[in-house]
Amino acid sequence: MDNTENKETEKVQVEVKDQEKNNHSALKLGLLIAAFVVLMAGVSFAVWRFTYTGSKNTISTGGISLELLESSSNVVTITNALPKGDTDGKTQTDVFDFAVTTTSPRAGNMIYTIALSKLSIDSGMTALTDSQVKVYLEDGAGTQLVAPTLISNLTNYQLYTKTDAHTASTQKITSKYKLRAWIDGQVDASNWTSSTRYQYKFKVTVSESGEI
Amino acid sequence: MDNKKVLGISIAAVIVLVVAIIATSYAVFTANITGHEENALTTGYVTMRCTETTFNVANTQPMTDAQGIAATNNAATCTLSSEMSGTMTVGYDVALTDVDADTPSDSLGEGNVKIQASKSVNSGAVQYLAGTSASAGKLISDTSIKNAAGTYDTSITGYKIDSSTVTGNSTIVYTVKTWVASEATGTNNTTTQDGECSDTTKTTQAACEAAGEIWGYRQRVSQAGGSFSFKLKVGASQVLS
Repeated sequence: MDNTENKETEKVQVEVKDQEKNNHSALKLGLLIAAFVVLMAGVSFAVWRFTYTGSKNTISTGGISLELLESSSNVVTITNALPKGDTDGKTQTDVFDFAVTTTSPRAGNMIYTIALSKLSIDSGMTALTDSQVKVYLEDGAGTQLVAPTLISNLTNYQLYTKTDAHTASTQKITSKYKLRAWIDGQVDASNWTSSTRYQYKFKVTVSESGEI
Repeated sequence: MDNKKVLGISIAAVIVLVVAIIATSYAVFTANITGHEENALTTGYVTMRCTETTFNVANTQPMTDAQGIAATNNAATCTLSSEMSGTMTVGYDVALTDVDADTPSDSLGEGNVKIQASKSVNSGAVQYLAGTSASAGKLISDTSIKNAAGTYDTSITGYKIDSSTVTGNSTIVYTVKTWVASEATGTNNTTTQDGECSDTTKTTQAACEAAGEIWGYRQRVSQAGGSFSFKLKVGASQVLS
């Protein structure tokens, strides 16, 4: 009788332990599945990405150039100059010829400005002032571009601004100019002597001042 | 009580106890019930796409902001659409990428090029981005653009123009207008030549001047052109909360 009871008791204890083990295993399995689901969900969402790289957008500029061609034969070199009126000044034969060429493959305007660059006078000379010298500018065909003007009335010595409208078919534009300069007729020359010589020297400069 | 009664009661008690224990044990083993209701997770979907237009402008020239903004051939667009079957917050960055990658050494660089960046969400009002405005662009080299890193896409280390989020179906149109703001920074090439004619077909002074042309000293300053390119990039990821 005692043996039977002991065996039954042991059997019950073993079964209870097995059940506990099963319960623990089920709990562990449940936790594992839950953790896996959470992990997968977390990983999936964290990995979600969208990346797009588009095609190329390109913008380019063409090469441009500005040229100044100065005549080597027609240069204003006046000696023994005396004051003269505008009519005589505009028709004097001493003239400086030059040409400006702009080149651009771009459909647009190149703007350049012609200006005077005042130079130092020769040794032994006395300088004429800006208000004693007049300049006059024509195009290559003899059409007036700048009326007789005292240099002192120019802004920053700027004489003329030109806009060259370039298109695909007019990539190179050349403009010719004739520049005259003389001593203004209002200048009092009564004190000039053969031993007191006055002089004014300048060059022409051309600079691109912008594009439209 | 006599011994027989005591023994009888003890046996009966043990039997009851054994039966109770066995019954209890069996009850534990048989408490295994499968539920009736089904629980299921079915995946939704999230898609994003960028439908873009690009530009290729050749032989352009420096422009003002007003001219660049008014131009009609210089806009890159990305119509960014999101479609979601569920609820999700997506963060995204829009940036320029491969900036001047093709011609990094030529005379036209990010310091010469301006952009105006904007977006319109679901056909709403235009919002200007990256420090630009309706009337003003910004150089791509500006540090506010050049050093702007992605918020949601860490592979974007610069040139970000916008960061935002989207939570459902949406269409956002991004527009990047681009123009050359200043002349290329390459060195001018100066050449001089004495004894040239304004009509290059005339090769002697006599022929030149006889034709009414100008013969003399030529100075030429030129500058090579340049090219600049970029791509639009979108990088997105879910925003976890």
